[in-house]
Amino acid sequence: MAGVERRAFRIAQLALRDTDDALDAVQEAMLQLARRYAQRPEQEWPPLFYRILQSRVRDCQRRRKVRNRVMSFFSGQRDEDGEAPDPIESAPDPHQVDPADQVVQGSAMQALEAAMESLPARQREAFLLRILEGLDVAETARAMGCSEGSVKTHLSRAMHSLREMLKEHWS
Amino acid sequence: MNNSHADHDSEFVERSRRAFAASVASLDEAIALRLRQARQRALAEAGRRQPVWRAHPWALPVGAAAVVCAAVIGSLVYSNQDQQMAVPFAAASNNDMAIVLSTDNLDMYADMDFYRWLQAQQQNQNQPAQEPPGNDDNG
Repeated sequence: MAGVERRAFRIAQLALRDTDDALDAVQEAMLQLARRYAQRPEQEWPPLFYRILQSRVRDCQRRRKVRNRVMSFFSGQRDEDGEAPDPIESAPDPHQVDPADQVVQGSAMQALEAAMESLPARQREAFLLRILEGLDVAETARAMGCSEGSVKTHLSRAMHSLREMLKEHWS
Repeated sequence: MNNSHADHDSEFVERSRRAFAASVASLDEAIALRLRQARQRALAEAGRRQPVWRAHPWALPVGAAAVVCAAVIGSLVYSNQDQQMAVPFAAASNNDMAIVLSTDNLDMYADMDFYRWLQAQQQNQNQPAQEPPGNDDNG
């Protein structure tokens, strides 16, 4: 766990874009792993841990979505489809910078983060777990709760999108 | 073409991993401390919830022996109760059940006092005829 906790935190932070929420998610995942799976063999822990973590991340994202809907309902805002705009999404991001500028500033990770933000959630999960955390395809599938084929599909699309977004800046 | 695509992919993957590793390494120390504390809490929780048979290896055979003993004693007591109940019931079925099932016999039991009184009257009437023979000599 000691070797995983920092990377797990960064992965949760990349998915949630919030330090406190990421810390809460990692803490809850650690506790749940200890309560439920402490007796399992140690090599099974990483996919189990990331499965719990992904579940906590999705819970947090759902809570945010509900909270945003309630907030937008009371504020009375609607877009052209009659849907309430997401205030978090529509709020200006003080850290948002063009990926090209980020690379110029020498911050490859920030450029990657910025590019990852535009990915669908499942593609981002596949990229985070398979590429950044380094789980194999089977472990990633277990962590994501889907088939290995789905992992490969999500990952392929994520890689394609990210390379397209970053090709001019990372080449 | 495919090789070139794969090279680009692996280069992209390597670059992503290097960037991620650098961001992990430069993590704020306060956050790293909170993560360590969370891990220690989780480990303490895992220790608290350790199953009894892991904390005390003797608990499993002792517990199994206790369960077997309880089962044997329970079955013995139960079978003994069965035997005790079976004997009076068998006797009742031979004698009393015939009386219980017959309405005539029930009527007889209800009039038992009358029959006892009748018998006593008959015995009183018979007694003067059985007086000792010495009384005839007096007459």
